[in-house]
Amino acid sequence: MFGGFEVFKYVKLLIVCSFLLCLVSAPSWSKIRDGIPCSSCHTMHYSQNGGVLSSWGKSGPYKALVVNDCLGCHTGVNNGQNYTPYVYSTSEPLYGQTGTESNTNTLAGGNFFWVANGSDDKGHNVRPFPEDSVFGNTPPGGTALSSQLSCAGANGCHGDRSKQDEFEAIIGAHHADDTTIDGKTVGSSYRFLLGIVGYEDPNWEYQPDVSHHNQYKGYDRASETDVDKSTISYFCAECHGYFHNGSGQISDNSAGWGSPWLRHPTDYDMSNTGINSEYRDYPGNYAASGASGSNPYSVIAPVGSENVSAPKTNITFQKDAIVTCISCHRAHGSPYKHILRWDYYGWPEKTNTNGCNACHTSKD
Amino acid sequence: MDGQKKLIPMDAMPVTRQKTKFISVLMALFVFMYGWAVSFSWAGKYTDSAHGDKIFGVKRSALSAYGRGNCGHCHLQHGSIEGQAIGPNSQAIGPNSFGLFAPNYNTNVTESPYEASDNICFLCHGPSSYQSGGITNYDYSKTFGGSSFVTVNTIFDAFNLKNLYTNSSYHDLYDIYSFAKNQGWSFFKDKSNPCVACHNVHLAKLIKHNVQNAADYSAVSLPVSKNIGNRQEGHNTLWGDDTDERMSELYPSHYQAPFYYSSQSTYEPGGVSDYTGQKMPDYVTFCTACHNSTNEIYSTELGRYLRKIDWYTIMNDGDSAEVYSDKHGRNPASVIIYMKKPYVSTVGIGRDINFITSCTDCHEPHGSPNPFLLRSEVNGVIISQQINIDDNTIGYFCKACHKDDAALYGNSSLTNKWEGVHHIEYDAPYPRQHCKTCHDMGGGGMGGKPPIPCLKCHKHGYKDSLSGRICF
Repeated sequence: MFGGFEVFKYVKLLIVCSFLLCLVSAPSWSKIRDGIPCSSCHTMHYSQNGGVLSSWGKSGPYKALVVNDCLGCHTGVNNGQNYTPYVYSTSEPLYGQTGTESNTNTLAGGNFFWVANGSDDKGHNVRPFPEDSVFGNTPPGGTALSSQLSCAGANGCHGDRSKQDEFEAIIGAHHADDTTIDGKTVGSSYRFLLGIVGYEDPNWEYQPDVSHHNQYKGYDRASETDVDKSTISYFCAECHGYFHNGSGQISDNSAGWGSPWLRHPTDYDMSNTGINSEYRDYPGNYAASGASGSNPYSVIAPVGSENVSAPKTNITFQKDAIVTCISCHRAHGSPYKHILRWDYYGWPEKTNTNGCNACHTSKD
Repeated sequence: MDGQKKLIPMDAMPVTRQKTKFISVLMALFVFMYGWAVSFSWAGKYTDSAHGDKIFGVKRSALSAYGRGNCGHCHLQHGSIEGQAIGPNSQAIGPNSFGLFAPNYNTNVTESPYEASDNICFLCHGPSSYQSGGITNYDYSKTFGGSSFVTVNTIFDAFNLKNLYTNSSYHDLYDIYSFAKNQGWSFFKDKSNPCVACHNVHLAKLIKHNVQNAADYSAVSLPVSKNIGNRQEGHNTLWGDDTDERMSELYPSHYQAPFYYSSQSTYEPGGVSDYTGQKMPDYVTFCTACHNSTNEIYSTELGRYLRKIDWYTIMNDGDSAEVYSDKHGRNPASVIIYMKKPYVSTVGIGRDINFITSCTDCHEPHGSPNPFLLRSEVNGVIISQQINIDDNTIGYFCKACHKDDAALYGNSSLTNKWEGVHHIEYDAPYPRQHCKTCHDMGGGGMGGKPPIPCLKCHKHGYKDSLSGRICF
């Protein structure tokens, strides 16, 4: 039917098409998974049949030819099967007591629902949600932002903050090879937090258990000015500086580091505490589902580690019991004041659940 | 041999199966015991404490968002509240040591009177309390002795009685701090508060609401480690809450609890019917953790080191010792003592000699209108007279338990006269001659001689060389 030349021609065409497909479609090692059509996220003319699709954002056209802004794409209800992590839900998500129970549908960062609905101290006040009524645009522990917080960009968390615009700050990251999270580029940084490393749970901690969770990077530092710029706590400190590091800001110990603390330490390895200290009983009553053995990991009050190649199922107190900002707080929002993971303010009068006791095991 | 596992039918290895079953049972038992032990150790220590109590615990008026008992009433995790590091009265609230909302303790103040800001505890346990509704803390005499005499209403007041009473005394906080710091106790740091030498604020229970069960609701923790059986007591445990940490166990059948105020049938603490100390923490072991026969403890107020105390050794009057063992402790009286109820054989534990007393039977822990932290109510009797250290007015205190001449001879005009026990009664140590040897002026009739200051002989660890007797 075909001559040899024609066969060669078709093979050549197939190779070229495959190459093009590789270029334009999502490789399996990026955030955008195989099989997702470009049109799920992009539009060439911000127009379809002369109009704007109902699923698209209404403020377009958007940069990078995308169909919506950050929040627009990441709004929805998580069900454990969704490809896109939803960080904002238009109806109240299921958080339970700690956001980790089997009947919950929030992710590791929590959800912006509460800050969007009248509780400005229950989420990071990113646009378009209300500014913080107490702090305005000045992050506690840090200096004022030039404008309201955004998802990305110069006043954002994700992406390259040297870029003013949030699209430009994040551009290309979703298609980047993230098989190795090394923090060198936005795409290869933990959750696109430039410079930060960590293990990313593929399900973003939807109903996490002892084997399925993020592993946050921590650092067993030696002084209150000693920092590792790849830790999750250092990232928070880029805005909330004094809460993490600074001379005379964290420790009142005459040796320069250690108890008595001035502020709750982060990037502090509880392995430095005495063998009989209460901290060696981590996680107290707060072990993750599926836990076994000594000192199982807690997804309620997670601790960081220097090695983040895989999620820890158990703590060995060898640079893997590191307090982080994320040990107590959700990054996006929670139903609790100051984005805490549990109802700290209500404890013990109104609730028996207090993740503080995962570390402060004798204070329950 | 061929690299493959050889499969053996289960029923072909009965011994192995039994072993497996046995091991399984053992493992299950271990898991259960471990779980039980773990759950026992997580028995809610802080939430059982006075500060963590969800009904009576910490609740600062200014912090309505925080639940009662919440850590945030004392600790600011980020050294600020709502981003503010300045409090409502323009005082800096953070960051402070231990993340506290105010400076923990002012080491520049070496003696009373104190300001509330000198010690963070005073900010709540003081007259202008930050605590919603305030906190009332009476002294030991009223709280556990039932005294109708109110000397203080707060802990702060107890440490500041110098403002009200010339001869008052208090447990000097700087002295405690200095002593504790030099002991090398791991829990006590340079920036620690002297109160934590005696109290673990995360464990201390609501004893004032449970005065008749003072031991179960103990508010103190040993500053030193003490092994008892398989457990270790210390700063991280309460002292008195275990049954073998009671006065009744210190020297069994030798502790007689003093009367509750105005009662002849109920006893301390709190007016209980028990007189053996089953409800009373073993305050002897607690206090002698510091005030013992070896520690050198300096008193800023007295300008000298405190007398050492041996409450345990049994010795004879003729024995030599660097510190003579007190007869108010385990060391028995030599021959006879003349005591009032309940320290007579017809009442209580049924003995009239060889008692052991608790430090709190005589002393206040925080402050007193009297010298040496002597209580204002003792053995059911209020001490209304002013007590001085340089005369015999301390006798008014002693006669709450010991018989003065008025009690011995039924003559009220001989109140606080002590000729009987010293010169007249059986086993009296001093002959009625050479009066001037002891009495400065000498001469005179019965009770007419100038009294000798009690403290000349009756003090901790002292033996009178004239009589050759240990006389405290």
